[in-house]
Amino acid sequence: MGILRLDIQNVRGIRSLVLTPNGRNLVIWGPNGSGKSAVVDAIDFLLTGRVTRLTGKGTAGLSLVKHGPHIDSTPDIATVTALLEIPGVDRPVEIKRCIACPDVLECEEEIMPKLQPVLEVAGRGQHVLSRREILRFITAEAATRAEEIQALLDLSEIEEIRKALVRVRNDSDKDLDASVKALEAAKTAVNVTLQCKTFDPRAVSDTANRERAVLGGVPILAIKSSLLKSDLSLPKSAMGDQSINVTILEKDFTNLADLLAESNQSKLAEADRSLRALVESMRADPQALMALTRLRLIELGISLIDEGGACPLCEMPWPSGDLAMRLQKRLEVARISSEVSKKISGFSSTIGMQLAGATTSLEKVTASLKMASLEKYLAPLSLWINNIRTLKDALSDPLAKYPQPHLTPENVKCLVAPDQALSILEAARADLKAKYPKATPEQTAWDTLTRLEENLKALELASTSHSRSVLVQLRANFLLDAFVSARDEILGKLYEDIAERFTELYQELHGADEKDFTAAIRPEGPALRLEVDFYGRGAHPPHALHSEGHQDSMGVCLYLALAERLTKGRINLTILDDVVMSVDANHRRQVCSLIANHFPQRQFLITTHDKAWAHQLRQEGIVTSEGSVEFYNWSIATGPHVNLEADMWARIKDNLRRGDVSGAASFLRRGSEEYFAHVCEALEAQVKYRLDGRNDLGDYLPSAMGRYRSLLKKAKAATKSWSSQDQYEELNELESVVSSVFQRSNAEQWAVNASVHFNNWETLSVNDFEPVAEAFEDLFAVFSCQQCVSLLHLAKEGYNPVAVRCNCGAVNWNLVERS
Amino acid sequence: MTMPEHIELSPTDQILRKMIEHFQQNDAFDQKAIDEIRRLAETGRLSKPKDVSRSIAPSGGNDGNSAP
Repeated sequence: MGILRLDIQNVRGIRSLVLTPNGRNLVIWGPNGSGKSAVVDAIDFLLTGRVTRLTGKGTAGLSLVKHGPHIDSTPDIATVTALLEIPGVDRPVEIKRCIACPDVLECEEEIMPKLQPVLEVAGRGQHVLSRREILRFITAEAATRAEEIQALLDLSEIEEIRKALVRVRNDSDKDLDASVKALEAAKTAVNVTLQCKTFDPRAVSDTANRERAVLGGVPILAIKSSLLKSDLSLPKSAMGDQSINVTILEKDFTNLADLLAESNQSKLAEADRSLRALVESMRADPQALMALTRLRLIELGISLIDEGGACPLCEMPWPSGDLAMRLQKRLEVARISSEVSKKISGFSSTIGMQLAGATTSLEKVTASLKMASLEKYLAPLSLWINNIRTLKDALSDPLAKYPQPHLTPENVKCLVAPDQALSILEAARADLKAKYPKATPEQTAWDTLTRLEENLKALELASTSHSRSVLVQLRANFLLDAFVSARDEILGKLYEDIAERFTELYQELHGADEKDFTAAIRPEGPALRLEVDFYGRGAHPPHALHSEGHQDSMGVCLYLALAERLTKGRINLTILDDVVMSVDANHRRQVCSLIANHFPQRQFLITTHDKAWAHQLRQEGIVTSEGSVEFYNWSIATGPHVNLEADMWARIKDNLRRGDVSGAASFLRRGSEEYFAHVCEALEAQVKYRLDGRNDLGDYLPSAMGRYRSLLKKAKAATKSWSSQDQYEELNELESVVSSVFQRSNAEQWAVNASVHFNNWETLSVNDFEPVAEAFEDLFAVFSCQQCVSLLHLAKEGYNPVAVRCNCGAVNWNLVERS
Repeated sequence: MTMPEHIELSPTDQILRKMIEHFQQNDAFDQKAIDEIRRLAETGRLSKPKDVSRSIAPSGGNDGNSAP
């Protein structure tokens, strides 16, 4: 996409402005506060419906509707219209957006599908580089550089997806842990009913069939809750109150008594001591903890090392086997930590299982006591249950939660086996027995099956949930692994290509002093390492040793390399918003070469407050005279005043039409002084030195003309020495034409001098001055290429001039004679 | 994901395309899950953990938490 015409009405600091770059480069120059960046904002708004400057960090209180339109304007008349070249469309396309309706882009409906990819890239902001962004990713820490670059190029979506997938993976891990615990708890409940220490499906089957036999049922083969009481009915001998079966409840009392038994308490205390010691040892070794968290990553890394031994993440080559060996060592540390972690889980599980069984039994007992209205026992037993639940929660994640300060070994013992617990249980059991007679064997069989049915239903649910959690965790892990692997592959290749292009571009800028410059951009997990060579003294971060100007250059080069890659085929426009502040004049000239040589098909919109650079861009042929626009004298009422350089000759003629010879002479003098100053620099013409630096046209013009003559003479001699007759003839003819132009301008120079320097212009008529202007217009043309309009400049090898060239190569005079 | 041919896919789209290629070869994913994830990728919702969790939940459930 390129801009042919831009019409801005009442946007930011601009009242009314029409620019016609015609798809070519445009430089807007002027002092700070002259409205240059408002043009950038307007393009930004047109393509995205927002003004980036009004969004993001530090923009609280700013809004598009309030601060987008000109301050004295309203949103409904704040518009940006552009005539664009769109990929795949063979005619110019007009699009328009109004701040009153920022989401509505006005354009022909049939064009929209072609425009959509352009708008998508524009929405990511990849086409604009501003000063405030340039150093962020050059100087950023490695850990944040990826985010900075991704934010600049709006690749942050990638990191957002990774974080989302990590979160899904972590959630699935937690769900799986919870489902494992729920499954264990369900098994424990079965164990309590069966009075077993460990879960055994055969014991479940045996108990079920035994109780079914009591009720006259046939054996069942599968352990399913739905089959337990199939073909059975409630025994006729059932008691009046069916809700409490003291025979079955006896199992819960026995279970709780077992928990409280001194021998069991000793075992629990021993497990608690071991658990505390292991948790303490892990916490005292942060590296062991870190190794534990990275275990999976290291395992995956080892499995992905290719045959050549290169790192699977950054593709950095390693001597064969070295990386695997190094990761293996880390894996050993991680595995030791993992073993400790498993032991911790084992001990916490040992304690936790007992607590789970006790909780189940206590819930049954308290429910029965409540039903029997034996409320005096409820308060102490409820407190006991709550204490056990607190302890269970702490043990669910021992590395994070256990032991808490109040959970000393003594307190834990009190929580698990409170004083008087046994006597309370004994009294409650006696009261229940007294209140409820012993149930018949049929009733007990029925109640046992009922309870087992309840246990199995919970177990079946827990089992199904666990199977789902296993699958979800498997998928979540694979999804994340697949994403990370794809990300590293795609971004690794992208960064590798970009590093290569970045190096090439930077060498164009600083090749004279850093010809062996190299750079490497490597993703390191979520971080991004950027290292550049410093004069052959090794690779360092860019801000470690390079000057601010060099960092600016790197910023521009890295941005151009990235943007070129990511906007390819969609947006052919690059906006550089005042980005070469710290780059010195010589290297700014190199920036011109870089744009000319490496991005000939791309349209650049450059804003700068640096007049010298604006002129360099013009003289190096990066922008034509039509593409050089000066903003000045900004005011709220008018916005910027605009001076189109292309108007110089038109303005001179306009002044002459109005009879204003002094005005015409003033334009000619000012323009000529600037122009020939740059000619002298480009051709290395000797200019009289003035301490105050106030050289004038009288200093520049003769030097420029003399230098041109001597270089042309040298070129002719060189051509003759190489026996290039055709070229010699061409140069001969050129010399003849140029001599004529020089003679005319020399003849007319008195008029310029007279009219400009000696202020006797009033003696000249319009008819006297017109030939002067025409002669100078021809003279200007001598020093520039007629094709690319760049200034002719001296090409050198070391200190020796070897050629006179323009940027496009149409002019190329060899200065070196055959030896 | 449905760009005209002359336009290069964005890095994000390239990554997602590659990722889908990877996990299509994994037995853990049924066609429904693959379609769901592809749909999330195409609609830019792969950065929404809840949507992703829902898409990888086995058929028969809707959020991975409730039993089938």
